[in-house]
Amino acid sequence: MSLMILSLVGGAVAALSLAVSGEWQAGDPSQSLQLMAVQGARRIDACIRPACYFGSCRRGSANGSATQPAAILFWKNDNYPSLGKIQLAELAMIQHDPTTHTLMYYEAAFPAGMTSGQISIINQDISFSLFNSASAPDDFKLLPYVTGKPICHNISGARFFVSDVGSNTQRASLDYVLTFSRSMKVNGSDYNATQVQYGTATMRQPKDQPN
Amino acid sequence: MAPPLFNIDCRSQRRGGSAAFTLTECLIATALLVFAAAGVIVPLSASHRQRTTTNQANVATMLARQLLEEIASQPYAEPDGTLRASPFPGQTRANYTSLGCYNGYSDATNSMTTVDGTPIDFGPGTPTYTRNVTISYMTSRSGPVTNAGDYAIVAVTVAPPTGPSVTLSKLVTRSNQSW
Repeated sequence: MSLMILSLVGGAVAALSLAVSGEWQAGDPSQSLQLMAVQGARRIDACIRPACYFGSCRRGSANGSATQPAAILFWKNDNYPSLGKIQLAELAMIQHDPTTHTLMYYEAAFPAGMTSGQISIINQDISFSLFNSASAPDDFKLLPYVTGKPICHNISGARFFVSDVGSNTQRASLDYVLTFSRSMKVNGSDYNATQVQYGTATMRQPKDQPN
Repeated sequence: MAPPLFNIDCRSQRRGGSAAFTLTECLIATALLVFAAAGVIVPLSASHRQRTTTNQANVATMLARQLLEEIASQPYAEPDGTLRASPFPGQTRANYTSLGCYNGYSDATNSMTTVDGTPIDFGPGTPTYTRNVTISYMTSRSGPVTNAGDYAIVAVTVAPPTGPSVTLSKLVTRSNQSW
């Protein structure tokens, strides 16, 4: 009888320890996902707030099942002459890569040794129709010196939606839904932590539609 | 003392076979173990509660930021320059026309949508969060609250199901730009 009671108590303590360790293990990816989600949202905000105008937008899907992943092409600044027109180096794009579960930021980055004359030859005007066309996200990546860098990882789905583009009263906004996922083994079983980050990024000083 | 159940302890030899682990001793040991386990469980439980509260505060902050950004997309005043203290009759969030329309706006997670009207899916078992907006106009940055002014404090308060509310505020000013 005594041994049975001791065994039961021992078993209960072991089960408690296992549950506690499982909870700790499960809590780790959740916490890191939260940090990633906040960081990802702040990076999108930092890209969009100073931008001037939205171009082509692909909505994507929050669960990553869309055939065309989420992408938003935007006129990030008007730093190069001629003003009011889009040049290659003034464009940027945020695109979800469902294969690598990454949010990528694309822009034209000219080599450091390139002269201003060489840059002006490459940094040609981009027409608004090209900027706004359905195939623009794919076409943009093919342009010279356009490279991508990851700005956020562990994103299994992304959905973008733009509103008030071209409005002369409201500022244009990007609504985004990012689904962060991370898998790991907890006590020998697969555990998948998911965090949905919902946000809006509003341009602070949008410009008129570029020519 | 109760009679021994098992004569497996060396004490039995020392005591002439009088005792091993008795049921009473086992119960006492179990009680001690339960007290010790309770001492461990209490901080663990507090840690779990703390994590839940932190998670909820994070979600509340996210919801507050979202609404603040959405409000930032609105012009400071109506096209005729007037300031609103509430929306026009029949106006909804989808067609608000200026900052002041958001004054008194309220929603909850079970009715929250993106700007395009898609319901937000927070996942299964999501507790209810409520959001409330207040717009306070001032005639100067630190002036008293008035009915109208060129400065406005936009405050979004999100109440999670448990724990303290999260309030984010933003100072907005009337600008000369067309938007």
